[in-house]
Amino acid sequence: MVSKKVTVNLKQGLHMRPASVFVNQMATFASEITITVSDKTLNAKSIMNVLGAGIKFGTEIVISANGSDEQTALDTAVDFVMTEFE
Amino acid sequence: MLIGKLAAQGIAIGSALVVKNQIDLSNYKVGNIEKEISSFEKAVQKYTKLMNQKFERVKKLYGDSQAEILQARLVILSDPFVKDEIVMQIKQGVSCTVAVQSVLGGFEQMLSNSGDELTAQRAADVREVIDGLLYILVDGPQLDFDNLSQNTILVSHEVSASTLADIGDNKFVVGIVSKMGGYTSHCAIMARAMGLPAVLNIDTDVILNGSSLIVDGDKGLVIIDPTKNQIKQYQADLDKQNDQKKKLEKFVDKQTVLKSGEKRHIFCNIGDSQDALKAQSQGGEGIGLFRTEFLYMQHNSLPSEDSQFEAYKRASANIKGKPLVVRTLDIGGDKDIPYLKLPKEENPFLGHRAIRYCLAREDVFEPQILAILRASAFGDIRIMLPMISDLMEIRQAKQIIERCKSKLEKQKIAFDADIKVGIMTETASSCLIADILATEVDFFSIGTNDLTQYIMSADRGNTLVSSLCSVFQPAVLRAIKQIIFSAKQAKIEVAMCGEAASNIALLPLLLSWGLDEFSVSSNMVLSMREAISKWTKKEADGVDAKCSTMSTHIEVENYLKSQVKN
Repeated sequence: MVSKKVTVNLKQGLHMRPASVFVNQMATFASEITITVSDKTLNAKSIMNVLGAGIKFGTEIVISANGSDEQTALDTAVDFVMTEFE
Repeated sequence: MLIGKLAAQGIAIGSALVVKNQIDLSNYKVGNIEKEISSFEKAVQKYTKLMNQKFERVKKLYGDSQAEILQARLVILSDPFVKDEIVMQIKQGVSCTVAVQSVLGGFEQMLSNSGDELTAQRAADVREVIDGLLYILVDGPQLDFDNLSQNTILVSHEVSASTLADIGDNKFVVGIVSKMGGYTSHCAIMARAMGLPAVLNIDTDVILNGSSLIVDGDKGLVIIDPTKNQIKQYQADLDKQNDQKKKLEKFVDKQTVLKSGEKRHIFCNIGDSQDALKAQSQGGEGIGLFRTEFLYMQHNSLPSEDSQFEAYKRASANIKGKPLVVRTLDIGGDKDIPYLKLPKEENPFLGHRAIRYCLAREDVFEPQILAILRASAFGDIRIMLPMISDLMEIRQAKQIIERCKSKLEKQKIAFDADIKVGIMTETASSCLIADILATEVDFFSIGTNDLTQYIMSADRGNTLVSSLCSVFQPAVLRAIKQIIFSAKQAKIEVAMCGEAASNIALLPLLLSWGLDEFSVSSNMVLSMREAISKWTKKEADGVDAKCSTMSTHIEVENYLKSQVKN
């Protein structure tokens, strides 16, 4: 398993539009991908989970991936939340 | 008679088709675990298919931003976590309808209690998915728009944008009545774009399926089981409207010319990219005023550069690349946007509004300029600055525009390097120094509503001073004339986008003075084009000469009204 701590750089946080794009990207990986935010761990492939966590700009989160393509999955996820998606 | 809010003009006479939004679960027959799981999976498949179809249709008819609303539902539907939870509950012996409600309902609750406004709004999408699935599970009748009877009036608790997309150009639906929504709701905007009379905010529970209805979209009324006399009266109005429409239809693809041959242009005022469709269908020669405030009011936070870019690009495509004048954010005065938290001002109309606000808030102004510039790569798009009263404001705004241009250049993003920049001439000072301003802009557009109130120093919202606030006041007419004159001297285009542009009594004066463009609401295009075709330049000059000898607004108004050509 690989994981990384990042600060969310999406201007409006992970709201519907970026979150949809995000979970769709995550769905393409075989690995299990999770996001941990303030002690809660959630499924990064679930739009309801991601939206429900209300992840805002500047929030610190830990992304973890576990599986055959874990490194690419992690890199993709980290890249996504680090860019300025509008 | 029911009184509601008017949403889209016109009259419709027909019979009610009441569409129930409520779902009756009592008829649902629960099967064994296997059957429940397969029912659930089939429902998801069917709903996905319906949404995909709808998505394509909406995208084609109304553009990406409308279609995106439906996309959210597809994403929710394909959530693996949600599916697993529902299947797990069914395996524990819960019926499929209950499992859908409990799992998705839980998320709906969670989102609406999130404390974050943007997220809370998404709860509505979850609700749509729940209702959509349940509707399929109880085998609710899908509205069959291909087999409607003639003159159907759609009555529903809430008419969604996707239902309207289903109606499309169906000729059998003639009107809409709904309980929810107001003038700026999706339903109202789309009904206007489609030319369907609509009245909202009506207690639809009292309307029975099949009952005879009159929808008066001009007054915001719905009459249930109208008397013979009422039908006769409304039918006469409707016939008149249709006759008038037919008479005007021949002007759709005509140019705007005076009887004596001089050319003019009729543009349209819009508040939304969809309005441009109507402008196009009514023969508008361009968009003279895109009020961008609506883009800002629709959201609970500033609209992103990307979403604005999409809106401007879409509007330009909808008007087939003809001129599109985008007015930069015009807030303050009587127009508030809550999330901007504008401070209360003693004299808001004389305060920190429009361009004054934007120049002080480059973080708000810049994304809009960038969005307009990016869209300018796709059509003839122009920038219009509101409320200019000082040349320095123009220079400052132009500096920001240039800065945005070089930003885009650096990023190798296409835009129209020669984009035209014009101003609203609507303040007293802009009129007095119109000759100075004209040397540094590409066009003027006269905003007569504000110009009248500023020239007369009379609040246009205050009925006690409404006689002062008349466009027929000689002072106002002189101001308009001077603005047009200054534009002509500097050889720049001059348009009018206020209400006066479609005031048929003023027409001879505007024609005589040489106004180039009349920017009016879409439904006025054809009647204005017809009206212009009845005047020769010489006749118009005659009216102007006579009018300039008059000294009160009453004299002027009476005279001009007596000269209207029918």
